[in-house]
Amino acid sequence: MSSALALQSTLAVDAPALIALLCALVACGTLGNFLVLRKEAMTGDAVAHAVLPGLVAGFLITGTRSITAMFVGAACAGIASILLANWARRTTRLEPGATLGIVFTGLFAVGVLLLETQGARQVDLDPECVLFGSLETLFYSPTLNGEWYTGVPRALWTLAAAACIALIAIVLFMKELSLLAFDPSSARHLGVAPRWLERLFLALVSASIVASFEAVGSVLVIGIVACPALIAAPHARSVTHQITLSMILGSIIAVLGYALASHAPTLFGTATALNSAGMIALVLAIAVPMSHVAKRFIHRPM
Amino acid sequence: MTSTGAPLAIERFSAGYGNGELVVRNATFTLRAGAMTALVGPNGAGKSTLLKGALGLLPQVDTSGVRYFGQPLDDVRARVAYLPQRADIDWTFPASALDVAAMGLYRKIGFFHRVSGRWKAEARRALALVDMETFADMPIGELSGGQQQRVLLARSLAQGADLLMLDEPFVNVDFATAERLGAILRLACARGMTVFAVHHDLGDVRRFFDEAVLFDGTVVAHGPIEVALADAKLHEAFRLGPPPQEQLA
Amino acid sequence: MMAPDAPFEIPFWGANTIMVAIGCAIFGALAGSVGTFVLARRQSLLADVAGHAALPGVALAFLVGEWFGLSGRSPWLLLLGGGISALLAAWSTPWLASKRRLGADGANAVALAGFFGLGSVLFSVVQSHPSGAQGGLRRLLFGNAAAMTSSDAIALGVIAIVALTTLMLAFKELSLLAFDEAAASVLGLRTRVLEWVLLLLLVATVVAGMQVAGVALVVSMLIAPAAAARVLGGSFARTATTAACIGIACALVGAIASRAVTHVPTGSAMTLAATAAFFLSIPAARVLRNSRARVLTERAS
Repeated sequence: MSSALALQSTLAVDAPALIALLCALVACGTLGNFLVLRKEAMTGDAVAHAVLPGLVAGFLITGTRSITAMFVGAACAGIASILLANWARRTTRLEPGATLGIVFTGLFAVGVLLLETQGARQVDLDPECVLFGSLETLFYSPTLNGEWYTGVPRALWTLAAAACIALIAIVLFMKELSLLAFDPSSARHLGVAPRWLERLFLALVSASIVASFEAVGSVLVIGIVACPALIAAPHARSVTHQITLSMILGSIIAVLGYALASHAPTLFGTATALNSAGMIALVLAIAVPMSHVAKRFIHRPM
Repeated sequence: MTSTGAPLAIERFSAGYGNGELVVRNATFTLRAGAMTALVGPNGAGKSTLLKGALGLLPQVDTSGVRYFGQPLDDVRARVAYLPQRADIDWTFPASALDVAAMGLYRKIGFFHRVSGRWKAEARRALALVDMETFADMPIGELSGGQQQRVLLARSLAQGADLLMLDEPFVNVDFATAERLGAILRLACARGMTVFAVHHDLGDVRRFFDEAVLFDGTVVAHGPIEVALADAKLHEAFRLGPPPQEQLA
Repeated sequence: MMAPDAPFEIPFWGANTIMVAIGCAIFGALAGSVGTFVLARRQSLLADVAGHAALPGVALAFLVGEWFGLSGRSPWLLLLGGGISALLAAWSTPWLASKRRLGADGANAVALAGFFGLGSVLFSVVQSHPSGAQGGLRRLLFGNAAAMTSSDAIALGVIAIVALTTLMLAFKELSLLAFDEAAASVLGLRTRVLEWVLLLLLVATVVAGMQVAGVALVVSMLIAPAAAARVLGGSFARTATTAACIGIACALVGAIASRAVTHVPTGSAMTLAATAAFFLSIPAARVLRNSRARVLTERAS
């Protein structure tokens, strides 16, 4: 009897969180491979900060936590931030990190300001949730009369959709995105990677990050965009190989992080709940240098 | 004056980096089809800027005075190949020599299609042209500098272009590799291709090239090596003052 | 003194307010001048990492303090903890960046995710702590000058003044290092020592700014005023001074705004002022350049 209850509680509590986590990983991490290949791993961090005012504005304007409103607001903010940062970089010729940093912290500050001043603290759109995510509170709550899918948390549907879209985009544009990462000037010259493709790619990255935000929070978003790719990079023999490896390794490590966050407190005898998103980010980050070290021990035949 | 059909015809072309300063000022010249022409001049004169600008790779540059085979670049992209500086490429990228060579075919393969067996065979043929067929599956990060340069050349040859624009192809390669590259390019010219390369070393221009464009921000001279790189012209381009004979006279 | 729901309040210019204002101003000067070096060494995103990386140290210091029964209200413990973890991050990230297939951007992302992830985990432990002092931690996220006490301001001021003095004493040597490391070492300067000095200055700025700007936004005070000064042009020493002045102005604007308008976090106010300064510097530079050119042509004719 108790095992059935345990299974039921696992399904209700852990399964949605894990599925959300894996979908977020696919949505952000697959596209993140190309960011890492372009040496733009911090774009995930930038977009995660910059979308905050859009999210909050969408919420405030519509007065609800409507996912479309927040999505649209956040996507606009995300794309606007990258365009603004690019413009600033071209005009001032400062290092790209500087203009990116100024733009995204500026937008983040606007977001925090809106959050704190507009009494959004009454609703659960509070700054800490934005930063630290809500994996712990993603519950599957089936209604008695409804179908099974009514109990699925809304965030899960968005994430699943984002994951599918990311995968489709990568399959369709693999060659073009690879060439764009490897040699942008040749890509432009060959006419193989037109401007709209680059804009589409950035829009998809922003959309995936926005979709992941609610469940995962901005701390982990940074982690899942860049870390899976960075874990796979030392071992990758081709772009496809890197993407596949990043997803496999990333998933295993992310689930491990989740399990650690849920069960480590009981091991230590305390009842405190550890922030899952933070733990997963930490574990993913630690895995990167470990992967580099592991590479040294894997000999390749000359 | 522009002659229709010339591989590259530049007329009163200027380019800079957007802060108001012009690096290339009113450049005018026309390449001879089938010739191997070097773009030489003092360091920092803007040779790479001229090349990149003419290829439309610099966003704020006006390319209306640039014609490839009598047409704007957008209409004849397939016929023009570009070999960037080796330093501009990320050689830690996860790709094999074959993958890179195949990149020259992406335009032909088109959107949404994979690099299938047929294209891989064509890429292999391009690698064979530069004697890199045995290294086809090797990661590019494990290749030597000369081998990397040959792979880039294979990519351009795979494209099947009529005009090859190269940015400092001979820099940082050893003597043997330079000879090999030179031989491949000569062969390409013999088959009707036109080669235009930014060359860094005035000393060995004669070794590889038939003609030269002497450039110091403007075109000082253009033509066969003996004519374009005559002492008087060099002194003018490098601002060395009049040659000694004239001073003694 | 103030109606609870009034959007504005007349700042009460007591001793506390003035001390906080002075503390903020000194922080602004420090951030602007250190930021000039950060910008010159192309380490803006590293500054972002260092800022966020202070969180785990702060949380850990809090927990350790609680364990040993120390007062969680003393600013020095938390600042020390934050400083240590920020230092760890700022030191290890460039080392990570030298690894093949990782690069500076990858190292920054890994360090940010790792340190801030650890910070989130520790923060969650702090939040479930029975003690009621974790409010003090929360304000270190986004900054709150309004809640600063005099002792907080003194801590801030001491750290900032020590750092500024060090910077001014070693300015010549540090500038050479920022410009041309190779030349600096050939000239016999102890480059490793100087690199550590710059590192410690960065950490000092983060620690000083934690209370007023918050860990998430302190990076803006580091790079935006310096970037604005760089756009306006001038010699390195001149840009450092300009950056310091812009930093002071933005810090004061932020501090005053957060005291005057309720619910405005200081970090946001300062960041917005600094960002505005940067974007305003672009047309300002153009105006300056045109007027300088006009003066030159007038003199020539």
